[in-house]
Amino acid sequence: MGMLKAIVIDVGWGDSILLESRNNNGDTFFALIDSNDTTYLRSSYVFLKRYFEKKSIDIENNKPNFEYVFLSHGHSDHGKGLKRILRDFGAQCFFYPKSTNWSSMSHLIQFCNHSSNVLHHQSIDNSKILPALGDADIDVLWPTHNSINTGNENNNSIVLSFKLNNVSFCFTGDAEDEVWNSISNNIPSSTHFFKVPHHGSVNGSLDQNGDPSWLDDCPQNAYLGISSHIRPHNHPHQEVINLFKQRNRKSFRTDENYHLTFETDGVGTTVQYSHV
Amino acid sequence: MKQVNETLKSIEIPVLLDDFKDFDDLKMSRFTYYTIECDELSLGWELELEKIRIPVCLIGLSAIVWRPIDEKLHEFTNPQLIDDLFNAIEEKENLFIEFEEIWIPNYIFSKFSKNRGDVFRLKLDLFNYAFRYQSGKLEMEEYITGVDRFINDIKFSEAETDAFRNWSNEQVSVAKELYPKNKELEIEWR
Repeated sequence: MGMLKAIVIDVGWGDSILLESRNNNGDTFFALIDSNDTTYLRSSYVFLKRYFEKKSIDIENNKPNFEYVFLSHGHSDHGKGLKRILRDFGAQCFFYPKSTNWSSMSHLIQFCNHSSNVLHHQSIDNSKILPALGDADIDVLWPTHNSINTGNENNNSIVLSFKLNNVSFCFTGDAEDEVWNSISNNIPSSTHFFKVPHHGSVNGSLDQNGDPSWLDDCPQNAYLGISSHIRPHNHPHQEVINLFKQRNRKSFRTDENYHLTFETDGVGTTVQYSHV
Repeated sequence: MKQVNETLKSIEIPVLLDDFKDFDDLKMSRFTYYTIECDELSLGWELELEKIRIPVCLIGLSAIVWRPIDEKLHEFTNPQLIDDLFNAIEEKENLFIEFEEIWIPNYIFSKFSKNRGDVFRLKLDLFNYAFRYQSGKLEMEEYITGVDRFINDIKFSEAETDAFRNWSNEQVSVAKELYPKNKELEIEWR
């Protein structure tokens, strides 16, 4: 039986999500979305290392360990530490969105241009068809082809849907209201897990009128996962948390629940988390 | 001793504006700076303090980049200097260049410019103060207020802004020229 697991890693402040997919043959495939490691706080790297070690995967000799590594968008709190991870774990493909100004992230592209640890890299958008991760189909919901947001890098965020049989998991980067205006009705009705955009900020979940920008299109029973960013942003914002409570939504946040694990067999979905 | 102090005073760290934030509850922006990293044991180093010099083996390294490899130059005024740095450092198998981030209150720099990718130069005292906030040794209010005394320790570096921007574009161009890096992994279109 196939399996899809998403672990929203508690990296302190920022985003890092490990995906594990097992197909019906029992083969396992891994993907990673973002990292926010610093030199001294390598939360993502250490988590990945321990996770692979526990599975008796020889990281060095099993390279590339990731089928896909995604950089959701070109902000440093999503890309810090990715180079070390790409170098040490290896990736078949490194995907990122187009951006007008790479600045902080261009060293990742420079690395991928010449590194044998990354076999292929390119920008992706909703015109691209990504091969499945194991038995989980991947759909790129955003950005659109050849559209680059020049004013707000958050709105260049790659929005992804992974679907195993009847269950979808959605990953949203820091996409804000402008993106949800365009695609919230594309959120699959089969969504069981939705990563709350932009660390639970008001910009990621409410429109300019203070109304929900994507919540009404996200199935009522979907788990909502928040990768917190308390310092200095104070994300998630209390207004967003209050909204989720008012709507009886099941939400979890890394600053209170540590690593969040959502797992599906393509029929039902379970969640594992801790308490502060 | 005096000469060392003078050297320290002259150091300015180049930082790149990553994300300009201007909200009611956050008027600070995120900047990145480059570091030279090493995760492994490396030999052949010397630690030089005021009175002693001692050979050491380093376990790990994180060193902030502040100038090109050519010691006569103090700024990365063209993309080639950035390339030279990356090539020189990363040809050593155990060394690589990464980046870290700091936050700087908008009132310190925004009078100069506030475009993503802009490069500023911070004197060491300002950088150190920002680093202390990033490290959690200062609370935000204390930091935003206290950094005022370093208000003259920052300058906009137009030449380096152009250099880093052009270098970034070059990396994307190289990626496009290489495409597909692996034909078998090339992504299909709808």
